[in-house]
Amino acid sequence: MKQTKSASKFSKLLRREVMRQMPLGVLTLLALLAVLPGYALVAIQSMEGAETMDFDLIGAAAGLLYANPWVILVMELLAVLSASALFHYLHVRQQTDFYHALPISRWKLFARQTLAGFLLMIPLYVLSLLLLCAVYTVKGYGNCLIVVLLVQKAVIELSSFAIVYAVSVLACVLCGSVLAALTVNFGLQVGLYALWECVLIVFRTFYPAHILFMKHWDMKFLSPMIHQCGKIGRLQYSNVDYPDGLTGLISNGTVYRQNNLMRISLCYLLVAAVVLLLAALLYRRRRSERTGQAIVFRGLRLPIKYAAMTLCGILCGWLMFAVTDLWPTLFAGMAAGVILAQCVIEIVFGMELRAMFSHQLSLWVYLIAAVIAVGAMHLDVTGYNETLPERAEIAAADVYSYEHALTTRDYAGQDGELTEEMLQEMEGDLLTDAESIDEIYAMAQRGVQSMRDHRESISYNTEYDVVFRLRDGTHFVRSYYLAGDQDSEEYRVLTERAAGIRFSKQYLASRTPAAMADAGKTEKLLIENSSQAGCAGTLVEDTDAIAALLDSVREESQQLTEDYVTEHPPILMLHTLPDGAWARRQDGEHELYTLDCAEENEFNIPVYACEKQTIALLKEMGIAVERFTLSDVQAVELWSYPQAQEDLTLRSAVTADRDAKSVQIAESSQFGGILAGAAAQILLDACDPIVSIDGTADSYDGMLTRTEGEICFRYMKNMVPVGLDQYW
Amino acid sequence: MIEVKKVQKRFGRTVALNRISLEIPDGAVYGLIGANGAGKSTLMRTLSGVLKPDRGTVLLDGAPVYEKTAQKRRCFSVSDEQYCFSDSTPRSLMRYYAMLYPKFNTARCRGLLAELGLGERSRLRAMSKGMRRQVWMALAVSAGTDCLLCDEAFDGLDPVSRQTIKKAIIEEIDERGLTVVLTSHNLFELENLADHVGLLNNGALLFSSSVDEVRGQLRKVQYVSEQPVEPQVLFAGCTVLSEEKRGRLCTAVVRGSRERTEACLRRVPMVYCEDIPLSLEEIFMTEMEAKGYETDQIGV
Repeated sequence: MKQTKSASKFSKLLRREVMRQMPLGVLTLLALLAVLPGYALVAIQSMEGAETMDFDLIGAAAGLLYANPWVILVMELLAVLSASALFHYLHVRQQTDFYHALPISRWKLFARQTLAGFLLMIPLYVLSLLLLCAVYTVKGYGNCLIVVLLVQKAVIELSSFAIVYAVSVLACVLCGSVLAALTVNFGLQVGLYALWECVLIVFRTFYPAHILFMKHWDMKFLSPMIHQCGKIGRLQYSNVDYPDGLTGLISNGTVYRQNNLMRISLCYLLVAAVVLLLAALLYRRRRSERTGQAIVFRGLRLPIKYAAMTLCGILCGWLMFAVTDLWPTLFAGMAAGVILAQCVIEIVFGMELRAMFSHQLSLWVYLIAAVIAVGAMHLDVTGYNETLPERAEIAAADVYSYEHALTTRDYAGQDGELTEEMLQEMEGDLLTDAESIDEIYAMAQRGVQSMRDHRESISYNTEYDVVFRLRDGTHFVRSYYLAGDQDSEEYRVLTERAAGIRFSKQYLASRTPAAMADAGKTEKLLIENSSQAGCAGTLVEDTDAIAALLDSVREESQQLTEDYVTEHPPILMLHTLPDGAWARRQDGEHELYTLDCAEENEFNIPVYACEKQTIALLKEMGIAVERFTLSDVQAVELWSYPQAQEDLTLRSAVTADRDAKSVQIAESSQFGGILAGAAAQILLDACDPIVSIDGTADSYDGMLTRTEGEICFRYMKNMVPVGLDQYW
Repeated sequence: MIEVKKVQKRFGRTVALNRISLEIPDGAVYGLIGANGAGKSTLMRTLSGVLKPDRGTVLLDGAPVYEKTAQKRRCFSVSDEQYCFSDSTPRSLMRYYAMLYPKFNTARCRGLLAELGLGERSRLRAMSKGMRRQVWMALAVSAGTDCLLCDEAFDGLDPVSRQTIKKAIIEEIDERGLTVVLTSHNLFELENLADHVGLLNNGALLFSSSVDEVRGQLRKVQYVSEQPVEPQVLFAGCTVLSEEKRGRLCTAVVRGSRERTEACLRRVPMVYCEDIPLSLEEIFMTEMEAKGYETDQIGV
């Protein structure tokens, strides 16, 4: 009976509080109506006004319904507003005294205010969502309304509200003034993540040799505000495994599951509950007399201040460093940022301007600690950047770079950063021969030297990552940077070392496309020469023939040398196609020479003139072994670069283009002489996806016209036909 | 009974209440006085359960008040600057408090408001300070609680409404033994109402006693004797706290029992002799001087 009475009284008080906060409710309703049905109505009308296909309209409408980040943003802002309004009494002494004198326990008071926030949001959100569905139905897009997805959408959006609301409530409880509450709230919502990113910035600045595997260091979840908005916003660009992208994911009902949004949202709900519980416990312990002070719990003042000083210091330092590239300005910026933050925080805490000079002891303590920490990192007292294991300790090694001239591996489609998955994949295949390890070790030593001389500015240079497996089974992984640009001696030396690895016995036996191609996984083999590249060619489908060819080229390619490959163009290219690749290519959904789309066991294998066994096999199969099928060529356009002729090492296309001249040759009898020593650019580029071995001349190149279109060609340096100038 | 046992409260480095102990019996009207910043409001907030004492306890009939809903339901607190909801009217407040205080007497409150000439539906925001105070006092008296805590209870009230509220309080005391704690920095406001008084100064309780007890111990006598006699001589055996002479008319404030002072007066033939009632102010002045405080330093 007593409990029933108590519950009834609580519900009456709750109802009264909700009614009292009607202005907030009205604002919430208006905002939700605007961002849900209102926005949809305007957007759909706008889309219908544009000339698009029906299919696109439906897809766009579905995307608008399920991937609208504005809803998340508005709900998060409403969460901040609701918490600030409902717990405003904690920041005004008279109101605090009024509420705390009432015969209501603090638990119930807290519960009442918190629940009022949810009651002001959830029904209005449901109403707005129903109106949104009505808009879609009336407008003829009712088939976009998938119940499961709508429920998931509601869970995601309400969870965003819940977590931001919970943190905002906590901020109100922790603080005794509105300004402080808003500041701390902002810090909790965004500052934690920003602080983490700033710490990473410092780490990357002082330890460029360290490779941060971002999968483990991505802490965006620390800021639900950013995380949820970002995830929903990125849904618009989904093309994971579905040709239709976002539309496909929606049709399949997996749009949220694919991006872990449901799991994250449920986690946020759980965290929101924990945060609210924490807020309730703190509320109970909160001293009423501290209303009016910035931070109610004195023990939090210093951590908050230090966090703000760290964030501000790093940001200011980084900004200064970004402009000047000088570490003295980095340090000066850090110090300025720390002092600025100290002043601002003390003003907020003390709520007067004069307070900016108070608590100087804590400032000095921080500055001393920061000087020690930053100094230690600057001086690299641990020697992390410059440490190398002893050569004798290394059992296996590898080097990776987005710059093809410096890598020994191809990771098509990667964004250039070494990931943990790539590292695990490398582990089974590291180079173990002494000559390769020596080359990689030498590259690492040059990297260490570069680190010693230019640590301040090297992170903007070309990067290469070195992996050593030591004899005790542990790994040594570092990231090094080129000391100069691609025209420098340093670059030349490093590319020579990479080339040295490329033509080592182990590499030739295991890492080249010829070595890695698996006949068992090859459905078809496309053979093309320079005039067939990308359009025609011979398709071999017989499994025995494929196996024989691949075995032969694998064996013969192990005899190739850097000199030979640099001086001789490939005659033919063998393109291994796994199951379905050829069909997709025919449908225009797959490119043969684009590394980003390369599938497993899809390789380009050049066939050179010296690989006689392979050539003989091809001839046996009736495949013409010629660099160009002259009968397919209709015309040739030849380009001459006079400046390049004076200096054959000149690489500047701009300078070369300025004085370039061209000529069209339509006489077929001349094609053979012009194209002698040339090869299609696309085939030359595909010779080796790992190391770019550029033995082509800069003085001449051209374009030939064939039935299927045009194709560019280049000459090998030592094979430029004599007398090309006669054609002008 | 309200018991305050060695309560200490600090705000930073400032000691607002310094080991205060006092007892307020049921049905008493306790007047708490002191200068600005003495600690009156702090003690009231502690009694009402808003503040938690750093040390010591506040008990209502033996049970602590802080964060105890049952105990707080027995008290109604009106602070010096009472907050009200922006859209409050006396009517809405009656409904609100009726939810919180089971014995809230809505009819009584309506009657008081009518007597004070206040409309039930008028917004408190539109009222003057004094009118709002009247509304709060009407609500407080009607709450049906066992004790009433009013900080600056009569601040801003005109004499007529002050009397109305005083009368209402006395009626509640008579009817159900309401215990009242009032604060003021003005003794005149508490005259004829408070039967217990306490004086706070810089967080310390300098004086706390019932008025009758004090009056029983103190006596102000005006006399003209046939033969001039000094008060110190006349009242030998008692303590003469103060004396004043105007010609042959002597006025003395004497500490001692009534029997003793009567006996002293009978010893000397008197032309004229009269007891003068001591006002609260005189009682305090006398007591404070006896304790060695300069009364102008207390600032009451």
